Amino acid sequence: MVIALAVFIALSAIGLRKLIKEKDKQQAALYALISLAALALGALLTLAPEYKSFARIVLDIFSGGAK
Amino acid sequence: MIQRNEKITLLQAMLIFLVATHTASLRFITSASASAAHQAAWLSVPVSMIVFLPLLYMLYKVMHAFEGKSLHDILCAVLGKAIGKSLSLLIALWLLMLLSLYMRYASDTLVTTVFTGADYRLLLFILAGFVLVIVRWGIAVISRMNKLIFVLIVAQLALTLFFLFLHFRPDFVTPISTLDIVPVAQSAIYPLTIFVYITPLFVFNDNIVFGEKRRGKLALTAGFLTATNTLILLALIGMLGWHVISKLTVPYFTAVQNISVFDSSAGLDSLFMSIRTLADFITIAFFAYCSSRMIKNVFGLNGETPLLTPIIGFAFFFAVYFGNSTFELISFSRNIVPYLNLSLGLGVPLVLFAVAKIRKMV
Repeated sequence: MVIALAVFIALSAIGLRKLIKEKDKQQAALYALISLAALALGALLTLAPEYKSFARIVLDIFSGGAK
Repeated sequence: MIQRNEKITLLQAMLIFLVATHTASLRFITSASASAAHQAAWLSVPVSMIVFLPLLYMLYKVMHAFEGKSLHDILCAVLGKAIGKSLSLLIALWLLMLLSLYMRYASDTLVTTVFTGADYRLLLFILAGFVLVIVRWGIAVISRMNKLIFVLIVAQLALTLFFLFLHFRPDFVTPISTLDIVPVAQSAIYPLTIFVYITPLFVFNDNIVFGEKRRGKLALTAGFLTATNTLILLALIGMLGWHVISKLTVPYFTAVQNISVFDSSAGLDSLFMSIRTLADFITIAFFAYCSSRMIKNVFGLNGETPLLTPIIGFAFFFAVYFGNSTFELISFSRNIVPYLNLSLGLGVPLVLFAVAKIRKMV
């Protein structure tokens, strides 16, 4: 996961730099937003391995929190 | 900048749909239908056509009337900008979730079948890398790859189904009586859950050239879906019985593993897995392309290519976060995904067609 995070940060930085150079502000803003969301998720998965998964959360909500 | 021809024909689009739904059909429709309709599960696909055919007709009427426009543009033109944008954003999020789900399923299947004991995240990472490289080339390249994969799938299906039917037991798929009407009708939801992926296909309607003999191509798609899925269900339930099929995570692979010729294993499972992995790749590429196109349209961006890196990166991390085990994914697929897919894949085209008809746009 740490390697995946590092690769993703590098790729995102390259992409974002290119967009800023091209002065495509809207695309750069959206790019940064999605990248930040992905990074936050990646950080959560790396730092808190005992997380409750998305499927579990949704299933718990729809089963009324029974499980 | 090199200008690429990004147009594909209706038949090519339909082939993408058929290949993109192939692995989901093998995994999800078989076990979920067997669990709901037991020995009569093989009837679930023909019954699901009662809803799928009108959906296909509605989509065709709307998309043909707005040829050259994307789904986002059509939603905005028919339902108004605010509702159209909101629905488009909802569809983009749905496609992003499906992208993560299918990425996770693809890596989990490889770990369960071939690379036993390997870390699924490594396979997921490699898969994400491949998709990132290929999807950049656009839908025309995906479509050309898809044609070859489709031929391989048909050849593989013909071969494996032939051997599976050698072990066929008619008592496993009978008796069928009036008592099966309700379970079969309920189980028809599962094939429909997968077949509604025809709706995201029109996210790139502006890239599709409808051409001649349009209805024939749509009939071919519906006929192929019905024939292959019914035969697969018949072969699996007829070989292993519905009890076993409903409990397996990869039923078709298990059945293919059990094929024996001259009292020894035929070894068709490795051939099956290699072609299945190619089909998985098309599924993921399809959802990656559709979600990036939808996001591009919603936010009015210049192109979808630059956004692919963050979208696939997000899908990778979300695929890891999706579930702690395959059983959580299966439970999610059976209990949550049908409602989501049917409301967005079936409900949206229904509303779109009804409003377009009232406004005399189709």
